[in-house]
Amino acid sequence: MRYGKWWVTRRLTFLLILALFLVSARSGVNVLVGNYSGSTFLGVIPAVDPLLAIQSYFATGGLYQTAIIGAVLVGALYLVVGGRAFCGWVCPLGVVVDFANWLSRKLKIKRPFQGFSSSTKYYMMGIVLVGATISGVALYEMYNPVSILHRAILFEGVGIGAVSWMIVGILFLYELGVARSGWCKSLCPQGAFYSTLGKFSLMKVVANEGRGSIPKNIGEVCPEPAALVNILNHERQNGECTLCGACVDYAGNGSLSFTLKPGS
Amino acid sequence: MDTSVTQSHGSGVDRSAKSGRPPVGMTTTRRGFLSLGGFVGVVGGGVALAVLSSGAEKRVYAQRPPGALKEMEFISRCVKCGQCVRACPYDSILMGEPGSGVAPGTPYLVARNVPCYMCEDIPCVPVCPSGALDHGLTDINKATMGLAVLSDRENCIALQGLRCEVCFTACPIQGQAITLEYRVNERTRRHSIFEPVVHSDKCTGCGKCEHACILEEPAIKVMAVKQVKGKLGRHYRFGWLEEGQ
Repeated sequence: MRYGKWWVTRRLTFLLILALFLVSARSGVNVLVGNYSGSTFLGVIPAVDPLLAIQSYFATGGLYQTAIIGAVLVGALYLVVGGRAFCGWVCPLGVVVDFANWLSRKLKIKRPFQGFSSSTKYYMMGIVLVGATISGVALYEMYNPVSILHRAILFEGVGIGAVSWMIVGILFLYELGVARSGWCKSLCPQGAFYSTLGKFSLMKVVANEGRGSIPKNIGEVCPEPAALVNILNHERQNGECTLCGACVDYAGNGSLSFTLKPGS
Repeated sequence: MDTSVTQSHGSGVDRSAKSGRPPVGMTTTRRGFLSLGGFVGVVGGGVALAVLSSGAEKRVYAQRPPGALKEMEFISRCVKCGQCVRACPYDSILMGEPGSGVAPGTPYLVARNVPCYMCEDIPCVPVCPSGALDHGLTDINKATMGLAVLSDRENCIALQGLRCEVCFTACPIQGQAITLEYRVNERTRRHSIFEPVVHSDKCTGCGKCEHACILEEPAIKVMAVKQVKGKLGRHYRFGWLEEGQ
């Protein structure tokens, strides 16, 4: 099934997190105050985007205690639930990109480009960190499309922030007409950070022998071919999997499943 | 360190896990993450990004929330989470967006619209997770969000001899941050001019004066301290100040 229980769970999780942010931003309720870059959960638990904290540290040579605690907590969370679970389950830009991809398939648009190699995003992360270190300014965070999008949603409101929406729009069109998962899989430095965590994370998708066959066209539903190959070949996890569960749903027979175990 | 798999071709990820051989059309290559080309690319890209960032310093300075660190450190420390924006009971704090001239994602104020009302408990500071707003600031009167300047002496009606005093009255540190200095109106020779004078050691840059100015465009404005303040060369000595010591 293309839209099975994992798809539903994943979308509900995304909506729940977004709703908690929105409700907290618009009212006096202190459930999840802030945004995806930094927040306070239930009024006490800090959460800070780890890559942002690292950029900030590289740029200024210092980091405030709350930021350290928040970044460590977020890092620890994704080491358990899967590095790029952020990309698959939480990231608002991921939803925009998924929508563009869905539309692209519906409209039968032939996308001419395979996208840059999956490893390009690690270089992007390197550039971001080197840039912050040399200049002393964490410039990327100002124009990080992921951050721009959630700031626009949470603080500017729809219709304001024309430049923000333009940047998001460019990525939408890139996905729609140029390359599948072109930003997420290949270019996003934040994705690269979570991929790095994903090499060591506990939650992962595995291929199980003797549980029925895996559909031949399983590649159609996976946004990360490098992850799928990784899983099907029973290799050491390469961190590319976004834990979206599309393949688990699509196979539907237990031949692919989530597992919460260290090691491969 | 990094195992990368060459891209499959769109929908055609061929599966042959059962047979244990790699899917058709795919090769697994092992490549050093920091090959020479990659290293050059990363450093080159980093330098390019740094060059781009250097432009940030030349941006229009913004009025920042209380306790904000020095501009460059502030925009890098700030995690752009907006928790100070939400904590402000007067909605004074806005969030910079691309194209606004203020570093995107960083909090700022537009005093002409909504100034800082200088809450005694400074609610915006303790919620800051990054320390970009200095948690050491506990006395709002010691804040430096900016500095008020009587920027248009030609249009300030007080300087034309009319009675105004609105900025003086609006100032929360009244009689200290803004004082009125009296002198003879040379035009009428019968009246006084009440000139508002800002004292930088007392002004917090809250912007209430700019907010209150009755002109269509305010004659008094809050600007970044760095934008406004001069610096005396060390060879200048004000003898009359030293005499008292």
